[in-house]
Amino acid sequence: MTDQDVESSIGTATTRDPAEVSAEAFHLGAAPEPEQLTRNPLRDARDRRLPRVPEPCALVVFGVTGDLARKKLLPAIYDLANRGLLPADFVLLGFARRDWGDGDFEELAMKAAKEHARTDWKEDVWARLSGDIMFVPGSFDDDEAFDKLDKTLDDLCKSHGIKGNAAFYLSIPPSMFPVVLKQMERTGMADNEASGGWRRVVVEKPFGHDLNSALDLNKLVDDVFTASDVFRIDHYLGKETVQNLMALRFANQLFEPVWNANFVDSVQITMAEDVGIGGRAAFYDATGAARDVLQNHLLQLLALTAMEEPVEFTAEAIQTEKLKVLRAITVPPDLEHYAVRGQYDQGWQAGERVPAYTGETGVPEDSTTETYAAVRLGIDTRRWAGVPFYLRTGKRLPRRVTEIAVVFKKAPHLPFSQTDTEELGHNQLVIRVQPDEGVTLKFGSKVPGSAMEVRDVSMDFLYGEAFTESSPEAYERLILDVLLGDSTLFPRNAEVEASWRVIDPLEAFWHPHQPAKYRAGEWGPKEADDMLARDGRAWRRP
Amino acid sequence: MTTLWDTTGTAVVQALAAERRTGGGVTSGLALTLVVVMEEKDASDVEAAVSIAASKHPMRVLMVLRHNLEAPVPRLDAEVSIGGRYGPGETVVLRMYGRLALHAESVTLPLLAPDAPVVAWWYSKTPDVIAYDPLGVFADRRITNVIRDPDPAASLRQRAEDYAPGDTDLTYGDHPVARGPGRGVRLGPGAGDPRHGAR
Repeated sequence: MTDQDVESSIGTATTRDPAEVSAEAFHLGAAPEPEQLTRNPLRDARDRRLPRVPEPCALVVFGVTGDLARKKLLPAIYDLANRGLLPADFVLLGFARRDWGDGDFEELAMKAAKEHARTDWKEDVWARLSGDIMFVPGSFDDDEAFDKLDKTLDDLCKSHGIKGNAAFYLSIPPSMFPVVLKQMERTGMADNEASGGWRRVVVEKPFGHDLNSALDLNKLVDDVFTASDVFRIDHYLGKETVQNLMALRFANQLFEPVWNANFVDSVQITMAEDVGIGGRAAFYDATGAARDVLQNHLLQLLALTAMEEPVEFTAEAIQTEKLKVLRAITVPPDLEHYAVRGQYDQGWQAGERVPAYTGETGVPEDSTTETYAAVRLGIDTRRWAGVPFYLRTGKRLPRRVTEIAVVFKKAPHLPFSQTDTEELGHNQLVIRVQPDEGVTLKFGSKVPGSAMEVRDVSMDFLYGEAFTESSPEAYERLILDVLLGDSTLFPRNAEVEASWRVIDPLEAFWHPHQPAKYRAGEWGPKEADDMLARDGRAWRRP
Repeated sequence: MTTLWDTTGTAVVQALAAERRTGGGVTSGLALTLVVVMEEKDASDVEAAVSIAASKHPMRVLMVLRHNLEAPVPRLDAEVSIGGRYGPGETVVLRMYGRLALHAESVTLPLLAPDAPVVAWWYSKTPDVIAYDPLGVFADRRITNVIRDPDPAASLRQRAEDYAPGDTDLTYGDHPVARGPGRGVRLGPGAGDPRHGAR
């Protein structure tokens, strides 16, 4: 989207009050020439005070009754409206197999937004948004329903001036993708030219279950939509702390000189969840921790940590660098030592008794699906050769925490006696993705007193302390970016494929083996500790 | 101070985080987490010792009190405070009832300060083989007071038998003639070596 488009949409948004301008105004063909709107001398694209507001558009959500839609998507849309980041001519269109009218969907959306929204509840914001919430009932194989959806979108061009712009959010299981995409192709809904505006599609993980299925899925989606109109959501990339990783690395002079194999001993990336699998047994048992988390979130975090500096801060330049790193990842040859998977057994977690994974409702008793995965990866580049990247993720671990720890080498020579520095560990830079979002720098310092004694201390940057502005929820940011057409924070299909090339050999190795057991409420199986002990290291306790 | 009745470990973690945010407590300065395993009757002694220790090293103190193992329904009560009567650090008092008391580590584990050393201190009634005790296994240093056990001599023997690096007993250090007041000493190999004496 060009700056002019932004200006024009803002001009549109501010000059017209939807309550006052009736739908007829558009029928009369009195729409002002875009030329006139783009020339506003008081607005400059470099002006940081200008909000990023998308053009008039519709967001079509498939699977509105799902968990994700209720907990994340619908609240995020309300939050965006509340922050004034949606265009005045915005339509939320729900599609599901329910015998509903617009009002029923509106009620569901209101309940979801009230319950899960980040920002305060404002009746007037909702009143304006709710007037533009619509629902089309139908199942995915129902031609008539899709014809109706297509017609509704056409009608919206007239009634709301969306100019054919629509984003389709597929909040549905991947097995439904083919049928839905076929319908879109049939009705020409996905066609930019036929619709006269842009048509984009948002896809949630899992992006396939191995390389081949990912290739199929990518082909399927790219056949219907233009490749650049496909947005794959990895909500971790929408997190403020993850984006800050780029600011930390590329806006500062301090860290770049030591951000390489000369100074870095190892990198640990952890994503721990304290919850079990919840009600997602069927999905989770077929997926497992490696496909659910390692393939997308952890490898994306690794890519952002390890990538070279992009030549400019644009979607293409960043994706190029990420792709280079993902393709340079090496899987260790001795997988039995450096790839561990585990499954939680019954235990006590945070003061409560919890069942084993195989005891969860809906999970087969003999399931060998992993709920924990840890692996050592290498990156074959000049910058990172020889530096191990330890990645781990698991469910029912003691605490919910995601962090990236860059562990530096010890000083080559210490002029102090060994006992003076007994309490001195490795210098570390820890990026806390969640919770307590921030950055910690850990280094040695003299303990006050008459003797020379050095122990670790830390300098802390806490988001909540340094900024009083609350950061937007990941989905808010990502939905806004989809509507703006900014793909910086979305992995490209080549990245997804490169990630599967890392995961496939691990899955092939794990498949015939039983996962190691760990007690719920502990930091993973002993084998994972042994993996680091073998290298003379230990996991950081996050 | 936040008091939580019939709560969960997760709620305690959140309460501590909330207390830190509102109290503006220094989070990064924590030098260690001290896990004190104690009984109600020890409270005033432990409080006095902890407030002195906390004034020297900023620490997070987790006091574990086990009650009535036979209680049919497990329960957790907690008090979270920053500053106040225990000194400048963070203190969480955890009272556990029923079977939960046998799984105290499930509550303390999420509360350990990130990447900081853990010290476990059994104020009285030391378990056997403390290095393998569920609360001791995560500790970098394990402190006992055999003199407060019902049979100090037997306890001391037990300590010597199951000694593991990282075990410390305060009794010898408390003996005024042997060491001078207020100093702890490590048991086991190197204990007699002056270079490795009490520090």
